[in-house]
Amino acid sequence: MNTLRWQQAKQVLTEALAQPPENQIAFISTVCADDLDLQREVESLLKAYQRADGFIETPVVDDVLKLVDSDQHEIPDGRRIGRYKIIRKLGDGGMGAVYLAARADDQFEKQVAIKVVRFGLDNQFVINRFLSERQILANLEHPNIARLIDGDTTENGSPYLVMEYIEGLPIDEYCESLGLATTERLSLFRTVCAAVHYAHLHLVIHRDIKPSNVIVTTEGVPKLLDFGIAKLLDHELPGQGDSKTTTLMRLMTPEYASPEQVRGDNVTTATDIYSLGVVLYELLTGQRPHRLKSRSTEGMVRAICEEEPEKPSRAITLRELEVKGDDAKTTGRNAKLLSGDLDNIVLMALRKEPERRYESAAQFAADIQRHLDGLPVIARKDTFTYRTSKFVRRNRVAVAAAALVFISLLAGIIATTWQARAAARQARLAQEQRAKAESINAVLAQLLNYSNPVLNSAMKSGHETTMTEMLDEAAKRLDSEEFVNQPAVKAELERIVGSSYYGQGRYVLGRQHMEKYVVLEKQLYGENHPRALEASGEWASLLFMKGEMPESEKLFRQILPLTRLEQRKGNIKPETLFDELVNFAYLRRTQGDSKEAELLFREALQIGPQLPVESRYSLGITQSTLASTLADQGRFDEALETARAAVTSSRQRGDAERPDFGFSLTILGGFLTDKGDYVEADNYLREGETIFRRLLQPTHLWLGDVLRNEAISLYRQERFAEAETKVDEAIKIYLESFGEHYDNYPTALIARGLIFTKTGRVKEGEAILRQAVKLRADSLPSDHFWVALAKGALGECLISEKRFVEAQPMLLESFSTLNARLGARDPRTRESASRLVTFYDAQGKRNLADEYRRLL
Amino acid sequence: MESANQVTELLVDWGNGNEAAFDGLFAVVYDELRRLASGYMRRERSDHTLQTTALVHEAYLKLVKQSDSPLQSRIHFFAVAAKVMRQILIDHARARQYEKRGGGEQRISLDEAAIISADRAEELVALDEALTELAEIDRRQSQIVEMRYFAGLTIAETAAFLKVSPDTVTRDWNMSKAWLYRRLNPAE
Repeated sequence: MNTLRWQQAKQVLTEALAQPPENQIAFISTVCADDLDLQREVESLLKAYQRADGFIETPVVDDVLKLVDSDQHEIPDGRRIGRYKIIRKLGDGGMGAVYLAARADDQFEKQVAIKVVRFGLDNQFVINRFLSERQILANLEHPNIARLIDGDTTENGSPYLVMEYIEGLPIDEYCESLGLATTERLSLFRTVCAAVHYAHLHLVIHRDIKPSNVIVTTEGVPKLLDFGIAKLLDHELPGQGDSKTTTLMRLMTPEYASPEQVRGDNVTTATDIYSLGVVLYELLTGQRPHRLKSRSTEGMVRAICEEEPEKPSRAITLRELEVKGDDAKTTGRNAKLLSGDLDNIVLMALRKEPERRYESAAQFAADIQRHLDGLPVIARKDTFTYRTSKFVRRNRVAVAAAALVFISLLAGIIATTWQARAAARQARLAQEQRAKAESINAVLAQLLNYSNPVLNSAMKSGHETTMTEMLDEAAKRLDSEEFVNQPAVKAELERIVGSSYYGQGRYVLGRQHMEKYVVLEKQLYGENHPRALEASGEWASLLFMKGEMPESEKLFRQILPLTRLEQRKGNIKPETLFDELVNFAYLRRTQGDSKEAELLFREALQIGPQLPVESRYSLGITQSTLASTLADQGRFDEALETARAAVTSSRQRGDAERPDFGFSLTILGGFLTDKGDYVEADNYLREGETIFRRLLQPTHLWLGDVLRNEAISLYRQERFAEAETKVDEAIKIYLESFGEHYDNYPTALIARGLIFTKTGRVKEGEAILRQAVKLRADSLPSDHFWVALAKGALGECLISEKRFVEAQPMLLESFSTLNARLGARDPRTRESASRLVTFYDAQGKRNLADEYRRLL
Repeated sequence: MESANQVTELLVDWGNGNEAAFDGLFAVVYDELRRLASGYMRRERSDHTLQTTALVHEAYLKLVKQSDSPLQSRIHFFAVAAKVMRQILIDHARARQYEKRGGGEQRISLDEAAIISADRAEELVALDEALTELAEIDRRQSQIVEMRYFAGLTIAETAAFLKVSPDTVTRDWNMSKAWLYRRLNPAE
């Protein structure tokens, strides 16, 4: 198409799209008149446009970052890892790259394979555990298991494992290439079973048995690779951001995964037996029991959990029919040989219910041997009754399935440790549980937090709906009986779902789930365990949010000293203590003890340098809130200075593009309004509003806060109509997102009530202001200055109604509290004094009015 | 990372048609993305999760922050960033395709498969080729797709960087979408 035609087509298409859909075609033909080529072209583009819904709408930025991140762990040839010199890269594994290497100081140049994991360990605790786990695996010494020789972390923190380098072919390729007969395949397979059994006796489960992990050397010796590695690497997963996909998919190669793995149930030795069954099936028939057509999780789950595999003998027959002329003998397969015992043996290993498979790999191997010896085998056909009962179970699974498979898989990781704990009974494992749960938290949170705070318009369309649905689905499952026997899993998931709801601004739901999490954690670990302390900290914050302040305070006072201690001992992260201090500070401020709040905020700010760099932006908010507590104490000038410093330091840290920065702007704007610098205030507040609108959900409380502050400034400038719009939106946000117990809700009511008062709707104003006073008085001590502010506003309304008798106590109480708490020079005290001036002037009490006038 | 001035110089050079300057810019942008990615991937607490696109914008802004950078070079910069991101993704998609063709069955590592599945790799490479064709017909349209799809810019931002009205961007975007979709789904 030449440029002119192109422009014409674009013009017509654009105009057509502006028409109602039903008129578009007619429009095109009218506009194109007799230019049929153009008409056809535009019609075809229109058709494509209509089908292209969602096409290239979701940017790929996220993928690019992931790819860039996975690139950075590449190690060039010739470089060293520890004592080993890299010879070349062997390939990319599930979790990182595998290199061929040799001991740098070894004159024999014995070659090893080194697996370098792609994500870093940056916590000494996790590294230590990784090293000790590695030691357990290194103790597995068996001629058919590739030895784990060494393992450590590279200087940039990536863990690596040094393993015996095995040259050979995967077992399936080996059998094919030599054209082994069924009996030969069976004896080779028995050797594999023996190795697996040996490991099971040492409490190590492979979890990822598949042909490419069973290498047969040129001498014909099978060797199992990567024994226990899957688990080792789950453990070593730092709490930090592993990408959702690595953890998820590393768990298993779907074709060899057992139903329990897919469903997220306990992984046991029976899991390895199932995977061995798949391998045997493949060795005997040349195909897998389940042909996973669909790569969707749903499809895979259905195939693995519900579909009965074809009998091996029948699978061969079918295949022979498909591939006519293929000589079964040369591939070592023979349907007749398989029917009967062998069918039963393989299918027994592949049973959906772990408890109905072979009890051990040794039993599996022994049954094969019995078959080879012509003895009766223990494997039997599945009975009819069993299949029927299975049907019921199956439907239950189907109901739950789909999107939530993610969670099930991850839940599986914890369940695993749970079981290992029962087996090994080692106290050390309790700690592993914790670290592992943390990793799950991070992973799942990442999964779910696609729907978290910051959504820009481009992402809104695609991701949000599905993630919200997923979250609701997760919540539903948590509310069912499903996790009753896995309290640790349930606790973690409750926490994740709860915090994700918070992230979405769905606070009520978030709170419900957080509560359950905290209760479970305390049951699991006992009160003073670092983990329980952490949960208690969150619990205390929740009590605070629910308005149960004395309980919250009591709990904070109980756990804070312990938390400080555990943090110094390194058992609790600095950011946890930081959060606790900040939350407690908020509580104390709300309770009216701004002095203690100030000290707590300052203590929190001192932890600043210990926070991870990427968390430091939260110092901005903390500093801003410190400013608020200074203002509470009537130290207004210091407060303004601190609020300015918060904004400046955030800009310096490069945090000006974050929602938190908007919060700091909101605070600074509020003070400037109090001071009367409306122009400057409005500039900051507008900047804050812009940031929130761009980065946050439209129901976010912070957006409400900035709107409220804007409303107050506009109100003071007597721009009532504009103020009204802003405050109405703020109130709507507060009520929708949190309810009337949100701290700032009464202040929005005050602004609303005063606007009504000034715009002739005094009665409505009075009702709203009375509500504000009540909310404040119900939740705070009577001499709290927040109560005073509400009363002052009500007093002002009553003055305009000329109801002086009622107004008087409001105004006087308000003034005396503010004067006592904030001092006479504070702008809020002066505002209150000016109301009294109006009050007395209105009644012609000149002398009394003058008394307050001199305070202005 | 190169100093801000060097970035500006490279941008000016590239704007003047010196294609070699692109390599220097690629390195700068790639570095920045890498720094960003490791922070992003390691972000551990749910409440700190930030939307990726916003993060990338932060990186752009950081690189072009210096006030003396002329507007024109800032526009070039965003064009560069979009191109770099396109190249990274397409390189990986091609590698993925290659791996799939060479590696037979499911031997590929599953985690990468999940970042870019085999099917998606095919789609991306096809899109890339179609986009190159589009550039020959209408350079601006292909640039808009690059900025929107690969770099995550909004309509408004794209409009600001190209110094055209948002309506123009929307028009071009609609046309590009239709054209690309038709190009990639000829059967429909």
